[in-house]
Amino acid sequence: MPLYECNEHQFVENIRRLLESNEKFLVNRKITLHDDARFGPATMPDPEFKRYETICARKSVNSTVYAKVPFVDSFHGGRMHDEGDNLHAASSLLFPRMSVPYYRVEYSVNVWGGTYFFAFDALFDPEIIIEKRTGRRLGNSGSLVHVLKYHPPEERVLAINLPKEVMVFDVKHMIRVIDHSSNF
Amino acid sequence: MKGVQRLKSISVLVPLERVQASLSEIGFLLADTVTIVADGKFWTKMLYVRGDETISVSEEIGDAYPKDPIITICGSKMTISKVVKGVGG
Repeated sequence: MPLYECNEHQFVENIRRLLESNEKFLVNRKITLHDDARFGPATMPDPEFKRYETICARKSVNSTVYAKVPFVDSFHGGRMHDEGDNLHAASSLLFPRMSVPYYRVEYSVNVWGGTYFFAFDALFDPEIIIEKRTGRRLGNSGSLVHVLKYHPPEERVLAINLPKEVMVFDVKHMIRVIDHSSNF
Repeated sequence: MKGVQRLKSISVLVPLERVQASLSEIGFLLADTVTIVADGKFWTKMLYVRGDETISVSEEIGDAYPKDPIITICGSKMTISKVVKGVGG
């Protein structure tokens, strides 16, 4: 079964064409949480990096990112980063020490034996606050420290807006079957 | 919303500010934003809502040139015409 990748514009326009042709079809959607260090601060474009500037600094895109202040990454089990820590090395862009969790969103539609899909990653929103925390490094009485939190994006902003008559099924996994029957 | 919902996606070579002004003029309010990564590029995806009509606008982040926001409209035929006309389509 051929698999065709679309961008957002192409995918939506293909669905519009299917709707206008009165073709019966079903849209499948898969949303999965990932925290596999795929996105780190060094590779972000400047406007996105600005959201982290309270706690880290870099010279430009793909430069090494260092911690400006000590901070706690609450999403990753309260991991503590000290001032000056290398958070994402320019020499190791694929393996950031500080990373952003994300949802992988995949939309697909099957028509006439082909699968047309559009996929994207939605980054969690960072929030940086100052909190009183206790711990081995912060003392038993506690100290004020920067805390990095991540908030998942709302489902409504992850969804592709589709008319009500389009049925969207949520799926956990898609198994692609190779059909050799047409070769005989 | 009265009538049937329709779907339309357009990619336009106009600044995001003009798209936003056009949506604001016809009563769409910004409801949410998210940063997404698609095709190896970072995008800001903005969701605009008016009643049960929704419009999403995706624009590449950074110094990309040319900038051509992708506008996806799920709404009435009239809303689609107004948006297309408003962004010079």
